[in-house]
Amino acid sequence: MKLIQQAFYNLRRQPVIAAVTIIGTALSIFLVMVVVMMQQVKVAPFAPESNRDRFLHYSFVSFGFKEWGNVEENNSNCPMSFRMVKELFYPLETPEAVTAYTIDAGVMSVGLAKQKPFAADVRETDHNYFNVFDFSFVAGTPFGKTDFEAGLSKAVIDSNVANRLFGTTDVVGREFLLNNAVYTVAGVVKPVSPIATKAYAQVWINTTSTNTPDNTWALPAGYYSVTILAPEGRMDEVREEFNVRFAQYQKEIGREGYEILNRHRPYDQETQATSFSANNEPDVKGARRQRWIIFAILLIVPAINLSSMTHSRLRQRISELAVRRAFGATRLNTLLSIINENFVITLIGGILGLILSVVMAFCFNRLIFAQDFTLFLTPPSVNPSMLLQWSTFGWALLFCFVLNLLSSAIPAIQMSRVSLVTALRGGK
Amino acid sequence: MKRKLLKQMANQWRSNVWLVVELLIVSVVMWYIIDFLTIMIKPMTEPNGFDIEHCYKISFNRAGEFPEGAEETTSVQERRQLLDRLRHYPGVEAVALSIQGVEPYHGNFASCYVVDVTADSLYYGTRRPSTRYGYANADFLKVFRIGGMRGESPEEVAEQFGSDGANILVARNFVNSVDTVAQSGPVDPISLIGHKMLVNGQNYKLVNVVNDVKREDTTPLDYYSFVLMPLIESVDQHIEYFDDLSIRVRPEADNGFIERFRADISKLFHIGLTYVVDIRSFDDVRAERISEDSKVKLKLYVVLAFLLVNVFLGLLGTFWYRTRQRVSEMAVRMAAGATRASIFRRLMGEGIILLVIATVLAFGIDSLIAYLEFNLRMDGPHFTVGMMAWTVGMTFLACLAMITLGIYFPARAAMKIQPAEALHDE
Repeated sequence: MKLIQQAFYNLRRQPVIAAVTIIGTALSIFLVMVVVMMQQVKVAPFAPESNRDRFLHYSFVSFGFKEWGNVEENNSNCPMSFRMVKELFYPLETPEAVTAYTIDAGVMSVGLAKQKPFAADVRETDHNYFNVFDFSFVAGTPFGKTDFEAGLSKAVIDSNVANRLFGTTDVVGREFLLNNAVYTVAGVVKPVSPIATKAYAQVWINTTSTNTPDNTWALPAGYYSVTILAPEGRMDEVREEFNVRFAQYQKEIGREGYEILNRHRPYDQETQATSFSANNEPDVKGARRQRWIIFAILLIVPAINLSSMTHSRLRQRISELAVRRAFGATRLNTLLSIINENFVITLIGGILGLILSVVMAFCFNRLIFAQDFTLFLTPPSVNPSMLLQWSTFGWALLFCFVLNLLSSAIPAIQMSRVSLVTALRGGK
Repeated sequence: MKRKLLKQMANQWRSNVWLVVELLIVSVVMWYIIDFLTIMIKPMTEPNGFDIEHCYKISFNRAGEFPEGAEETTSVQERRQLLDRLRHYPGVEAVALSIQGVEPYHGNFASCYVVDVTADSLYYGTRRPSTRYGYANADFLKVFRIGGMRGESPEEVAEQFGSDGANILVARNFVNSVDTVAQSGPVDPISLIGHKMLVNGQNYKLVNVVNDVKREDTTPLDYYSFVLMPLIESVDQHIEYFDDLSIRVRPEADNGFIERFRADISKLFHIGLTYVVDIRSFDDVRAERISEDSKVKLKLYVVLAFLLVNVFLGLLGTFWYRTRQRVSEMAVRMAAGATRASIFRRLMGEGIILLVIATVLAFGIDSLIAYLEFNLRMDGPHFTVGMMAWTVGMTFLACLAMITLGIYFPARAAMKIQPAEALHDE
């Protein structure tokens, strides 16, 4: 308490320098936290992608054909055919669930027979999709295995679409038109933010009710991505089983002239989030290095400023510090008390910066979190459960601490070294 | 005076070293970002070779089943009728059909080899610029206002391109993609006109050379070349397979066109199973296509602003403290006849000397980065003396502006003090 009082007293005494210190800290923590959040929404778990730490993604296949020459040089990179999904992924036994879905949510027209249709983002999925991603159902259930096997025209819609179509969410069993074809509502879920890249859509339909499973131009090529949900703590076992099954599959399709270039797939969530294009292997280490360089720049430049500011502040208080020393405080004690006191100021700036970054995240979500290369109908909205996680606060606190250490350690050491006699005289 | 200034600065070397270190880091990072931005922005100042003003993109689709009792029509019949109605729609000047993403701002792209049969089978398309090619009707040139290299209007070029499917057009920079093994120097594009060209195993005649056509504003001019193949509207197969449809609207009819057209979609443009999904202005298509670049640019601007604000804060804080300590010195100077302006100049002198020191050091690091090609972009090295002078100069000026601001406020506050009052402290 005394520490905080003292810090405030010192701040009031030099308002300009105090303002500069706090603004500098807030700005730095603000930008650092925006970068942290941009990464966090890609990897931290939140509904309906609550199991991100157990996901293994196989979003694209890279393959060659015997007539194209060497697969390393001539390959095609695209989502997978349904046949490949059925032969390679569905038979896996270790995973808790395996789902295939169309890679992007595409725009289709949604309407009722005598109503003006509107556009919605639609994704085609299998029934396991709803076991891998945890949607919250407002009404009804997902379509099931029997629907999937029989190719029934069933759909899950989000509550916004339900309200717009029917004026209510209690619509299980009712029919609507999707690109002029009749679909039955199996369930209604809460809207999903496009930040959940794999789970996002506004309408999810049973893929076997369309001709997409048969739509292919080469054996492995089609429209599907796969996400595997590994049982808790058994990622490696899943990978092992996949590798065995993959080697076998490579032989099978080799008979038809195809060869798959695996590029170390399937990827975990962080690797998948780093993946920029299907024809390049994601460089997770490079991306991490890039982030650390950005953090370093965002912290070091203000730290230099704050350091010289701290130095000025301490010089004015040199006699006070000397008195403390004269009454028996050790050098270490002086040093620690300076760092502690400074930490209070850093925290004030840090909290301001954190608040600013959260406000930015809510107000400018399209700017900060927009998906690469795709524009969905829904803005990439964020909710508190995505951003305000313990890890966010942890990072903010850590960066504040680093900034504090960077900006106060050197001046504190210098001050604790000043000889007592000169200091008491108020000299420099 | 100058010597005194240097001596005074040397006495405060500790806080000056901090400032120089900060300016050095800021200067290097800013130089890197300005270099990056210049490379990104430069292509946008080059001509596009096409014009999208008053242009609209029309998306269409075909549904699954015929409604009961409806007359069955084929996709080709429906598409022909759709085109016919579009051409007669009030305000529409021309309708462009194309395949393989030759439209401006298209996400797809296909490349090809072209063999000049007349010139002893010279090969084109083996090196940069890569030959972006696709099929389009003659009106495509009118819609996107693509004119000839020698100043021919789009109408004249469209006339030459014709509609019988025998002719192709290439862009001016097409000649740069010639196979170097066969040909040492670049060919004059005009000399190619009239040559017989082999593309995808078929013979065509090159009828004219058009201006360089970029894929989008942000790609450098020498990144893609352009080869326009004929789409023949009388051939059913071509009608069945075209996938991009755009229109140009007469300027006087453009006001409120989108709203009028949307209102008419269900009345006029649901033909059998084929229906128009939506109409979008090319300005929107452009914004979506270059949104990645715009986002990157925005992030870089934010970092630049952050660095500049820090320079401002750093100088503000340091000089605030410094001028406070020197109040009596300034008072003596003022009592001895120094004007406020001369005191401000003296403080500014300190800032500028610090910045010059930092810039000289930063220039060394910048040169090293450029030499090691750490600032390499996708289109290769771009080092020139002019570019270096521009980037270093811009960095210096931006820092100078912040230093002036950072010193102005403390200096003004300090100069307000009455000399007598300040001297009283002594």
